[in-house]
Amino acid sequence: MSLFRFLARRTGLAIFVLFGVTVITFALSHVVPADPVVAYLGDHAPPDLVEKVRHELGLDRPLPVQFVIYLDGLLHGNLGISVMDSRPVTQDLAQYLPATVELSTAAMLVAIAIGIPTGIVSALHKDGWPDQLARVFALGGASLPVFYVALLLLGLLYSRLGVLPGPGQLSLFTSPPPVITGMVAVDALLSGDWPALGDALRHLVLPAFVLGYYSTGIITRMTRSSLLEVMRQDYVRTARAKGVVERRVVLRHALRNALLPTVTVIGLTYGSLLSGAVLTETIFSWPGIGRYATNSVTNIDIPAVLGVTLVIAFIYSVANLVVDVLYAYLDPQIRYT
Amino acid sequence: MRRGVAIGLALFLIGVWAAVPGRSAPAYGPQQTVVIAEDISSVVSLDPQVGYEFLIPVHNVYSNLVQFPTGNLTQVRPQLAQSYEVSKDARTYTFHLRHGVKFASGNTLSADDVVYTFERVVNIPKDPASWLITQMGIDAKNVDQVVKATDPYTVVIALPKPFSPGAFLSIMANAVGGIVDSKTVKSHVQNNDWGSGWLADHSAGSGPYQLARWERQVAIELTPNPNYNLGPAPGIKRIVWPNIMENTVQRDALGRGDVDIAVNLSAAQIAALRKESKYYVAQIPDLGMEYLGMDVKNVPAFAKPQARQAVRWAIDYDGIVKSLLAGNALPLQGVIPKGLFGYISDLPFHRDVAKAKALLQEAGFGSGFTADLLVSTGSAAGGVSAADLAAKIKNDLGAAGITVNIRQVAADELYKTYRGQQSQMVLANWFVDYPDPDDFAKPFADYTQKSLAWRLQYYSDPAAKLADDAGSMENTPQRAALYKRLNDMMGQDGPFAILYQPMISYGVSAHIHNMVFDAVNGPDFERMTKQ
Repeated sequence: MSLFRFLARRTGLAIFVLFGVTVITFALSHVVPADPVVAYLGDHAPPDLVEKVRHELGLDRPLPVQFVIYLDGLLHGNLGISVMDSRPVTQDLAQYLPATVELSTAAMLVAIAIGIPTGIVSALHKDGWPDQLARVFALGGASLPVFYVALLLLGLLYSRLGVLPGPGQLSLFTSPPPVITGMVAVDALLSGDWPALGDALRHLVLPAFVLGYYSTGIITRMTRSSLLEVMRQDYVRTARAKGVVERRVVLRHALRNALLPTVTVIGLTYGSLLSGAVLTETIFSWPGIGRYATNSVTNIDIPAVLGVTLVIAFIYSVANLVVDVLYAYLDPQIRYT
Repeated sequence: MRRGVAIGLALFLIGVWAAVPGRSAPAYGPQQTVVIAEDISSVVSLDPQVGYEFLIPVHNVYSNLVQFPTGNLTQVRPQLAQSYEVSKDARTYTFHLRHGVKFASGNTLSADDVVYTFERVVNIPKDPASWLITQMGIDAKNVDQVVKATDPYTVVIALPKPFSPGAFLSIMANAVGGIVDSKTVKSHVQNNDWGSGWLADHSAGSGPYQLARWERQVAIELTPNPNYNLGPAPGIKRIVWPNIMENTVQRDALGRGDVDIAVNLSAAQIAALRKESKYYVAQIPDLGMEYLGMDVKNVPAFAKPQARQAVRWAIDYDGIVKSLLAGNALPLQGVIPKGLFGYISDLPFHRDVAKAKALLQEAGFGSGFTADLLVSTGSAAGGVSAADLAAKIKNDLGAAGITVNIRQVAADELYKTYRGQQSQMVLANWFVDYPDPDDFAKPFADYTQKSLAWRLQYYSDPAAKLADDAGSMENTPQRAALYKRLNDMMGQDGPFAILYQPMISYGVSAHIHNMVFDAVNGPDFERMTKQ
């Protein structure tokens, strides 16, 4: 099957998945035993105001009618108006998504930059002390709760030692760069605002490490185990027999094949980083989509909840697709089916 | 191929770089800036006629016809009004405006701006704050008749129905009564929204500050209003509220000197701060209370006043305030909190299990009874875990023979059940909307308001009448006497056990001086200094 047909088929499937996600989320948001109008107006609002606003929001119409109206808007690229802040959900998403993309991408880069070399070193020193050390580090990433690591590192590196800045994307006395992409570090780079870029990168270090720590652990272990497996293969022995230097054997011959499962993990964890950054975002006051999603859910802001769910489902679908395409690129034996 | 991509990327970067304007440095340095760490993630609008969650910036950006001086919420004084008169029947208010008051835009404030402000609040769709005004009988249909500019500096408000004058004036002093610059707002109206979309994150007021920016989930920032002429220019030139949600991080930031005031510290953090000389704790009673509600229909026992009384005698108020709240609360057993007119300091109840049991016997429930207690997840007033407080109450009532089943649910679910008159017992709190005793007496005592008393199906006509009578009076000794009677009546018969009044406790850097604040206006930045 050609790449084009493969992509077309997967896109069709993705649309089906997104529709399913919309139906389920819509249904779930309406069976929550709470009143979205009271959540919006607050507990002090008198009952007549609650009913008036329920009508203004169209929440007194039958559910199927509400769903059809929503779908109609969706087909026209309209995700509805957020109940909480009375702004179009697309506007909210456009504001909050870049911050999360920036943080998650930085986290992924940190995870790859630390995870793959650590995994290689572990594999090459199997059961030696570097391997044991890496195992403890990786185990920490996979098992320590994010908020614990975050508060611990903030307490040490910010509060005690003062070597890294505190929460937020920029210091309060740094002027934000003009908004181009919505990602502060990228915008600072694009506008050549070096002080802001330095400040933004310093602010990115801790949250990116904290968010990426879990993935770092998994990537380390994955790289280690698949490299060990590959190193036992015949072609590696052949390469060595040919007199290829060990460095080249590992990096050139073994690693490329060993990275295959790691790529899958990277693709899938990137999706989960984007959707699972809420704790990191809360502790580091990062204005991302995780915070927005949590606020929307606690306020039963149905259009916002649906919008966030759709975006996250979309990101997952794309991440999966990219992983599959990369797979075939890395291993020519794999065919699109 | 790769080189082509690299060159393309470089050209793109250079292009964008050239197209983007240069940055500007902040105009005010740390000495002129006060930074307040606060969880502002729930703020939805800074429009005075819409906002409800976080009003301190609004109070500093807008001026009102009358205001409460910071630190004294018992008597309003004129602000934009030079003077005002109230008719004998307390239905008609005539405000004489000051001449020459300027908005931040440079426009001069006139009676038209006042009229437009009233029109906005009753017309903005889905407005959470609108009920403050519509409860007076003012709505979109009659606002033209009720609020009139008789000349450029005179506004007459003739209320269509009797309404408490104390409540009226305190609502005028509230954020919702912040007068907006009608010319500026009108120029930003879109789709009949009365400018609420624009005013959510911009400002058009005549207060000492203007809104420099509000980046949602990031920070709110105020800078001085260059045209402010209602008082001296404030010494603090920049006020920033960075959104810091975690109290541990707020404490870290205070410790590093990155913030001057931390708002959401826990009772334990506050206690620890007191021991350090670099900081001090600024503390005042909050205007609100945590209470236990008893539904008088859904639980047969609570239909008997003696059973409700038994609950009040079974609770260990001292233990709650001293141990659970670690002193971050005051004892309160009446329906009007300390700091408001009509507050009564009497504490008639203390834990007396034998008395509680005797009262249950008298009610015909000597062998006890069982009731579900609705508790929300998260914190109760004063920062204590709601589950911990519920466990304490379960324990206290259990000793008297009342079996409590705790049902912990999300706050939204709790309020749906409670507002639908479906609860048995509920642990909840009530905080001030506008600083007048009416804002407490009516919800707690007057079922016709369809508020707290109604939710618990407590339909007492004498209590409703007392609350209504007291509401219709100005702050006179007679009014105080009525509230005293109402307090006694609710203590004897009402469906509530008032548990405590929480404190507002700020951790403040020692660099901040003249820190005066109250539960409505927040800190007084005009008086505050930083060294």
